[in-house]
Amino acid sequence: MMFFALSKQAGQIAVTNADVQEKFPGLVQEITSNLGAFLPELILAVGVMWVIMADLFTRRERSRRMGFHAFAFVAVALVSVICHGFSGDQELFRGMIVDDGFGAFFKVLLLVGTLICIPMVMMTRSFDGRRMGEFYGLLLGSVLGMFLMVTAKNMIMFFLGIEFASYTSYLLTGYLKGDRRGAEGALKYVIYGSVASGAMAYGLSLLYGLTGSLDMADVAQGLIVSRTTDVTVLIAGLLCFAGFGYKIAAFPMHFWSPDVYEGAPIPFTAFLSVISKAAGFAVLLRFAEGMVGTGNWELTLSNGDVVGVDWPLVVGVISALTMTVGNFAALFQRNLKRLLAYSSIAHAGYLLMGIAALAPGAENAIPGWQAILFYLVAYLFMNLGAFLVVSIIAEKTGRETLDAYRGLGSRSALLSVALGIFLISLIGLPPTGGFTGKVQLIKAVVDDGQIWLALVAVVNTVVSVYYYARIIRLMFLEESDDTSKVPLSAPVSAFVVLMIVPVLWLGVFFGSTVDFIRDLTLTLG
Amino acid sequence: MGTEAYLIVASLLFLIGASGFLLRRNLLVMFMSIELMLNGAALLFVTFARHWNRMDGQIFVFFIIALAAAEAAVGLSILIAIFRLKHRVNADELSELKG
Amino acid sequence: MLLTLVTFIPLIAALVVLCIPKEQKDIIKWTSMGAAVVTFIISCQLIMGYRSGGTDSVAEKFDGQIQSVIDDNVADTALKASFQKGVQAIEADNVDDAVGADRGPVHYAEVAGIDLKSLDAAQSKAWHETWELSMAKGAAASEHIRFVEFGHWIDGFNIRYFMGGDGLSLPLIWLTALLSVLCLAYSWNITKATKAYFALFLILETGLMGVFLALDFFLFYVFWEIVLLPMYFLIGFWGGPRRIYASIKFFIYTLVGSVLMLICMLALYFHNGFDTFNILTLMEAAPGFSQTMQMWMFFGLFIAFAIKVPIFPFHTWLPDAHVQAPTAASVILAGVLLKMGGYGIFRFNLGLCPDAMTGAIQLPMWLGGNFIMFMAILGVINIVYGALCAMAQKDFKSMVAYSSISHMGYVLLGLAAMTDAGVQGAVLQMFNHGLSSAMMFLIVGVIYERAHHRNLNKFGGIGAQMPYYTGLATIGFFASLGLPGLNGFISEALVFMGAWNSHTASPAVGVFGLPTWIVFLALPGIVLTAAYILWAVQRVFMGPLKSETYKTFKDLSFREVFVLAPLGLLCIVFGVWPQLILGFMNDTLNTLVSSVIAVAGN
Repeated sequence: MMFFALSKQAGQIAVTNADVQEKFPGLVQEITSNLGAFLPELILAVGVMWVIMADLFTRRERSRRMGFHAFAFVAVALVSVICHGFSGDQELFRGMIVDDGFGAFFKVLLLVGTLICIPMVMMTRSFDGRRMGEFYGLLLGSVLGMFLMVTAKNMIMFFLGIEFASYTSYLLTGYLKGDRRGAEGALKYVIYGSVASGAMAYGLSLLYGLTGSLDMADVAQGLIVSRTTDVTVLIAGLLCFAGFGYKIAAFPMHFWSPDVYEGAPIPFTAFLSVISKAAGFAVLLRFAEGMVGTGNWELTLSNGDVVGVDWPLVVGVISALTMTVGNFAALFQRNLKRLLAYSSIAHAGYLLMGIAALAPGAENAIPGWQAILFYLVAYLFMNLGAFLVVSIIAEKTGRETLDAYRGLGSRSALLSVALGIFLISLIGLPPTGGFTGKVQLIKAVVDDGQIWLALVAVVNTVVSVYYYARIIRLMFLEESDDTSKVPLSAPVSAFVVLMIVPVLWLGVFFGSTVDFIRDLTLTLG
Repeated sequence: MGTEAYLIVASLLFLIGASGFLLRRNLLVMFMSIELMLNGAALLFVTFARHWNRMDGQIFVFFIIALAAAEAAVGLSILIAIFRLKHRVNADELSELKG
Repeated sequence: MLLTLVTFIPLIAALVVLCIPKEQKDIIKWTSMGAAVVTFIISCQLIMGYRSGGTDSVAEKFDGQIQSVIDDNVADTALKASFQKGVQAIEADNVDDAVGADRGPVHYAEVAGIDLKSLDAAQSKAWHETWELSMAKGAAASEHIRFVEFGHWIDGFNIRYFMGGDGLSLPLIWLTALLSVLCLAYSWNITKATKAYFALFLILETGLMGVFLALDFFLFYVFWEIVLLPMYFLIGFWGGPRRIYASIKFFIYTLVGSVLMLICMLALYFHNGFDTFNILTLMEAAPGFSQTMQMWMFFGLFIAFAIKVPIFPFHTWLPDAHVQAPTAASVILAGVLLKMGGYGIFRFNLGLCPDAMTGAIQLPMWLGGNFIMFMAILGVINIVYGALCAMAQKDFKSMVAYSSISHMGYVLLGLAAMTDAGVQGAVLQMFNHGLSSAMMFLIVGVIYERAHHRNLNKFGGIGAQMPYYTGLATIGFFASLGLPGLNGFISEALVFMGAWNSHTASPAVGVFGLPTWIVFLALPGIVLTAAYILWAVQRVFMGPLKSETYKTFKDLSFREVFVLAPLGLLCIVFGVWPQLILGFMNDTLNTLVSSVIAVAGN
């Protein structure tokens, strides 16, 4: 095989039986001592079992109350993550996963997002009369899988995490049995997802073959040794990217997302568009950061030859294509769920800019990953907020198409103003979190000298105005025959307001969040 | 037999699976093609584990096998749900969602 | 404190208005009016106070701020002394505009003997801020900036809440405050969603004030974008039949410009490791920018602002937006929003790209050869093309809209002249156009409310029917035409004087001089302006009554007189006593010109 310049290096000798017997007591002690840092995952695991079991002892019509149980478990897990803190810097379970600020940050992000999605599920009437224990069990299971993704350091672990999160997602997409669109969405999801994981497994095996290790840090380190096999590295990287790219819905692995988003129940679409995507970015970031740390990220000069793969360019091109495809496809959508699906593809493109700009330039500049983390926080609130309004409107009117929003301004001031703010934030205009986040991303690429990518991003922003503003226009500038008010209960109103506050807060006082993100620890081994 | 021979077989398996996925339209056959891709990856792991004289590659293969089984279970259950609704298992006839 | 008040009183009032139940229309209107009046009073105070304050007070403020930054963060006396040494080195360099000099924080740290690597986080931040403020102090003193306010906003990115007013911005602040009061008064009988209308108008005012007063680029950008949305809704909800098309066109055009500005802003931030958004600091360092850098900055910023002005070929949004907008929004749009573009060109293109403004940067011939010719040619196209289009219009309002395009051409021509007279004329033209175009749009609004159409050919004989209206309208029209004795004449005359003088005066100081044929090309603009305005006056006011319904028209109501009369009066006052407003601008503008000339001299 010409691609493989394999050399037999002194690998580790296989573990013998005697070793195990000798080391076993120490191993057990090590595992138990690591369990403290693993508490949030354990809480979630217990939660998965609890909601399924407790549901068996609940009458069917009361099954929706399982939402409260799931909510409680997620809240407790959140508390335990926060109590554990963001300054951890150690490996757990023999380097399978790590306990660091970066992982804790993503855990908080995932849990907060789930906390927002659960009430949305409980508000959805199409779930009425169904057994909901399994739904919440699968939902918590999905979050647990994502926990493993965001903290994984070993490739086995994150492959398992991705698959765990994916399988539960397939089932949740098609949870409404008998709903044709849901079933079709789920099938498309499972087919594309399986092929992506197949490609990723192959890519991982190539990386393993090149470096002889499954540990991410060792892989990144090992790639330096085998510099001469650039084409293989590129192929392996792109195959792995198929797996990540599918999670974050990046071009060309985005095909599934509009169909799945449209077919899935709205609260789960919201979950997929934000939480699943955030977890995908966490893995991608950790992987890429390892490459940056070992100097494998950019072309380098070695013995007078330019070697390596120009990853910033590769990711930059993917980023540009992703945002362009997402935005231009969104222009022609009539179904708001589908429109938001394409918009979330575009946002994956914006976020990828941060990955393209990972190599930090000037001293005070913010490296790309900090910009991504900030943008994900803003994106969490603005996109979930938008889906919340879509979900409320769909409940009240039974429609997801744009027509349902005509004249909404006079029918429900709160909902229309809220959706307006979320959309303005998605466009990236001040004074919202979307603006400050996008500025940081663009700043990162400008600092890295990739002005062309910044220009593509701003042109895309202008294109995106057209379809976002169309919704704003429908709500405020056009009048509808139906002028009946949309009734909102007090808790729902409060929920909506609660989503607006962080969006505006991040737009005006984003300094503290930036500082917080800057101080996070990132353990690469 | 050197490592290269195994690499060629594994690559062929993966490519056959990938082309099967792209060319065939029957959903069941598509799932089988995906299994072939996974098997290609698994064979590669075993080969490299042998090459580097390490265990972790072999462990990965066990996980791949288990995951492939889980995937088949999930995928086929969804496929059955679709079949009940539409009485079709052809990918081209899944056209309710588009745009 | 005054600047913060003048900026945020309208916003607070908007929030208050939002809390008032929508049935209480009178309370809503009077609250808004009250806030606008208070803002206007403060803006008058700013104008009055501007000339009385000496330069030293600003320098003292800066010194105090620098001192407190050092004292708060640096305890070590030796380090303190090094900081002071750095400050002195920067101030010494502030005096002469050294071309190509490295004026970054790292350079001065070396000069002062500060080892940046040994500083802790707080100290290196403090050094950066010390550098930033010392640099800004130089520009602030020479630009005669007053009322500065320092505040920290986002320390992580060195984004400050930094405001200040000078001879360029304060007249525009006053104009904004004045027109806001008049527009709110004119909008008194808005019945469709009154609450939202008044709240949006007040938010718009905050945005405009902030744009003119912000001295931090990031802050400026935020205010710049804040202006966008209220205007979008004002046109889109309260506008004419094609309002939705017009509003989205306005939105997208302006956004294209502002995202370009964003890229320029970030490129400036990262330039040479400056890491600052402080406009004054960047201006002070501008002579050191490379010519390539200045060229791209000029293009990016110029397009961003040209869309707002609007300059041919970016003007097509303007007629649509104006024709569809409600009268009060048209007034603000023509009176103040267009000036955002002009202000931006003066503040940023002039301040940050001195080599471009001396004509030292070569451009391809089809772009005019250098930036001065580039701007002059665009200015002439604006003047003549705008006037020709205005003449061709049947719709009264779109005639006025095209006349705005024509008038803004003078601003560009005057700036391109790069002489004292030309630049003063250009800024004065912005101010005067704010008064006269506002008045013209109000005049159109008054007649439209009565006739419900704006077709110039269908009017006639209004003069006899509505004498007071005709009287005031004539003042507005003639001010726009540039009749001697009214304000438009002064600014246009200054622009032509400056442009004519440019071919002898500018080369003497090393700046590219405009050839005289450019001035001749622009001259037809005056004739065309006279033609379309007199023709319009003739068609509307003279001749027989074209329709019986016109007989029922009542003359101006008290409210309409209250709105139109002050503008008419100001047109006359500034026409006979231009020094009143020129006096504010002189110092600032002369420094702007002379700082560019100083770069040419080096």
